[in-house]
Amino acid sequence: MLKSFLRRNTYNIQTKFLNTLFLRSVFTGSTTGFKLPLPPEFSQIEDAIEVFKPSEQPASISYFTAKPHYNDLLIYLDELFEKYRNAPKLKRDKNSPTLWILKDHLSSQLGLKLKSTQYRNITRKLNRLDIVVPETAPKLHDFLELFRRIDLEKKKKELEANKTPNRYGVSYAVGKRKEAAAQVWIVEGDGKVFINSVPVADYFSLLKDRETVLYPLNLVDSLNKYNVWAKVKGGGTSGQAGAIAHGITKNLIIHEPSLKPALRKAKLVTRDIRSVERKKPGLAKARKRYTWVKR
Amino acid sequence: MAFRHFYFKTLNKQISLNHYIQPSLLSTCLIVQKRTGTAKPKIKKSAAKTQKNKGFLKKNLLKKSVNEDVEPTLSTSFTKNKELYLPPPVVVLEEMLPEVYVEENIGKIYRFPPEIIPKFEIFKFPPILEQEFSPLPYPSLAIRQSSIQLTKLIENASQKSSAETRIILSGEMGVGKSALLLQTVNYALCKPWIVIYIPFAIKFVNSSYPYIKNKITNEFVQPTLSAELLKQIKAVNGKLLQDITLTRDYKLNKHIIKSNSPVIGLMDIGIKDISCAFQAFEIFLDEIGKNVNYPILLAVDVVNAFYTSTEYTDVDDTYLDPDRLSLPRTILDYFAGKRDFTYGAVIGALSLCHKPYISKPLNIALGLSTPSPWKQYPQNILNYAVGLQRFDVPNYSQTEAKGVLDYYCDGSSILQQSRDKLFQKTFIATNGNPRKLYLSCWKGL
Repeated sequence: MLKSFLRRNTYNIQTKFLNTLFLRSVFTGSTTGFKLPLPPEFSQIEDAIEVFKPSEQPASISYFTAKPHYNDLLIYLDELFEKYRNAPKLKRDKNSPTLWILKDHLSSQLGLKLKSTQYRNITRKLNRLDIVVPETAPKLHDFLELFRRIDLEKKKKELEANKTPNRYGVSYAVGKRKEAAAQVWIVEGDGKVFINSVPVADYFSLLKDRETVLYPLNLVDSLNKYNVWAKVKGGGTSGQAGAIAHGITKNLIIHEPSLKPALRKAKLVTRDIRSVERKKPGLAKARKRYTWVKR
Repeated sequence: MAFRHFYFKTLNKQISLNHYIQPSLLSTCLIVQKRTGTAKPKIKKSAAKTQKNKGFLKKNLLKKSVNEDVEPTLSTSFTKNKELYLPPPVVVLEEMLPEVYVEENIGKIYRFPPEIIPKFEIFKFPPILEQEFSPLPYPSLAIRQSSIQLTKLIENASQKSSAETRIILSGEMGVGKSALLLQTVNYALCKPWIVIYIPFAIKFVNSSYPYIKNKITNEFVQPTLSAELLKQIKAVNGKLLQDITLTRDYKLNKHIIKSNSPVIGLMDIGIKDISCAFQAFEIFLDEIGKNVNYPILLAVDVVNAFYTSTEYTDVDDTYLDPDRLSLPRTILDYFAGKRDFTYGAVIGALSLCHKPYISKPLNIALGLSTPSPWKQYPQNILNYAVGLQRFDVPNYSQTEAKGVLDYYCDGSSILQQSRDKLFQKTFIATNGNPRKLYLSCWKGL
C-alpha cells in the first residue's frame, strides 16, 4: 500500500527545489545551495546537465539516487513538515512514544531492504509530523495511520470493554448454533425477552424453542433479573433458539463470572459444533446408502 | 424422565387426599394425564349364560351392564410404589355467580353453577373450549379484568334497547374471547335474562343444514336449523318464557295462534312443523323483544362467519352472501341495529381460528385493518357492520396468569416451591396468552 502511494505521489518537477536548480547549485557551487569543493574533473558538469533536455528531465530527483522510493518518501515527509510548519502542535510525551511499524514490516511494504539508519530517518520525520494536533490536520493523521503499529495495549482494552458491561449496564455477546448467529444484549431489568423486536412468545411457535432460549436464565434463577434484546439471522428455528441461548450464557458470564461453572455443567458454555454432515461419494446422503442390488 | 400420574373416575366421590407426591425429578410441563388412550382397564366380566333354544338363535339371557357392578381395576398390578399412582388432589371451586364479578376476585377460578351446566349442555360449549375443559375436574374459568368490564356494560344494557349495546369482542388468537363470552352468558343466565347463545356460528353458514328457497322473499330458509335453535332456546329459557304472551294473532301455514297465549305455544308450532320453523323464530324474536320484564342477550361466537360469504350456493352455483340466508340475516339485523329488543344486548366474539371465515369488511368496520384502495368490499356486508362497539380483550396480567397456573398446579402434583419458577418461565415464554399458557401446561406445546 505504501509502495503504490509513493508511486502515485512522486515528487513533481514543478517544485521549488528543481526550480532553484538545486542540482546545479550543488555541483557548480553557486550561492543558492550549499557549496561543495568540486574536483577539476567536474568542470564540465554544466555542460553535462545541459545534456538533459526539459522533456527528458526525470520526474523526481530521487532518479539519481540508489533507492528512489526511499528518497521519495523522505522528500514527501519533508514537504509535509514544511506544509504544517505553522500548525498547532502538541507537546511531545517522552514516556509514551508513538509506535511505528517495525523495520522489517516497513521494508516489506515498501519493497526495499531498509537499513537501520534509513529506518531511523523515516521514524524521526514521522515523529516530527505526529506532534501536529490531529483535529486540525485529519488528512495528515490518516496518512500517518499507514505507518502506525497496532497498539496491543489498546486492543487489549477493547477486548476488555467487550468483556464487561458498559456504562449503562448493557453487555453484548454473539452466540452461534448450526448456521444461525445471534447478537444478544442483556441489561438488568424486568424479565422481558425480545427477538428481532418481537416478544419471544410470538417469535417461536414451539414451546421447546422458547424453553431453550430461557433455559440459561432459568438455570441461574435470573428470569426476572435481566431484559434480553436479541437479533438473530440464519439457520432454522431451533438453530436460532440455540444461538440465542449461547449468546445469553456468554452475557451472563460477563455480568457474573461466578456463574460459569454452573453453566458449563449444563453444557451451555461450549459452542455446539455439531453441524450438517457432508455428503460422501458413493452414498446418497451423508449416511444413506443406495439400494443394495444382489446382481 | 417424567412421572406419569394416573387419574381415573371411581364410583363413590373421592375423599380429598392431602397427599402431595414429591418426585426427585420434575418435568417442565405439568404431569397430568387423562386416560384417553386406547388401553382400557381390565374389567372382570361376569360370565354371560346362554340358553340353548330349540331354534338356531342363541340369546344371552343374563346380560349385565358392565360398568354397574364391577369396579375397574388397572391392568398392571402395583405391588410397589402405590403412592405414585394415587389420584390427584380434588380442588374445591366456588360457583361463578353474579356477585363474584368483583375487582377483588381477579385471578380466581370459579366453576359454572351446577344449575346452569345443563343449560350449557343444551347450547353446547364452543368446540375449542370444550377441549380445554376436558382435563379440568369441572368446566371453570378465571375472573379477569375484562370480564368485570363486560358484565358492567351488560348491567347498564339491561335498562336500554339492544341497539345501543352491540359489542364485538376482538383480540389476538387465543386471548380468551370465547371464554369471556361464555362468562357473560353465564352471568345473564344467573340473573334471569333470556339468553340466545350460538356457540359456533360457522355451522349456520357452512352448508351443513338443508336449505330451501323462499320464492316470495328470494331468500333461503334453513328449516331444520331454525327448529333446532327454537328447541334449544325453549329448553334453556322455558321458565321465563312462560310469563311472556303474544301481543296479537298469528297464522303460520295451517296453524293459528291467538294473542295472549304463551310464546311457548308458538315455539312448539315451529319445532313440530319444520316448514314454518323460521317464521315462528322471527315472530318469537319480535314478541320477546317487546317484553319489558326480562332483558334479552343475543350472544354469538365466531360472529365473523356471518360477515363472510357462505358455503351455500345459489341456483347459478355462486356462493351466497349471509344476507341471502334468512336465519343469519335476522341475527345480523340485530347486530346492525335494524331490529332491537326493548331491553337487552347483542354481543359477538370474533374468532381467528378458522381462516376462511375471517371477515375483512368486519375488520375494516371495527378498525382492525385498513381498507386497500385497490379492492372493492361488499357493501351489503358492510351495511350490517355499522355502529358496532369494539371490545378488546388483552392477554393475562400477572395476577390472572398466576391464579390460572396455581389452579392447574393444584390439580396435579407440583410442589409449591417450584411453582414460582415455573410461573416466571411460562409467563415469559407465553407472554400471558391464555391459550399458549394452557397448551404449555397441559400439552407441552
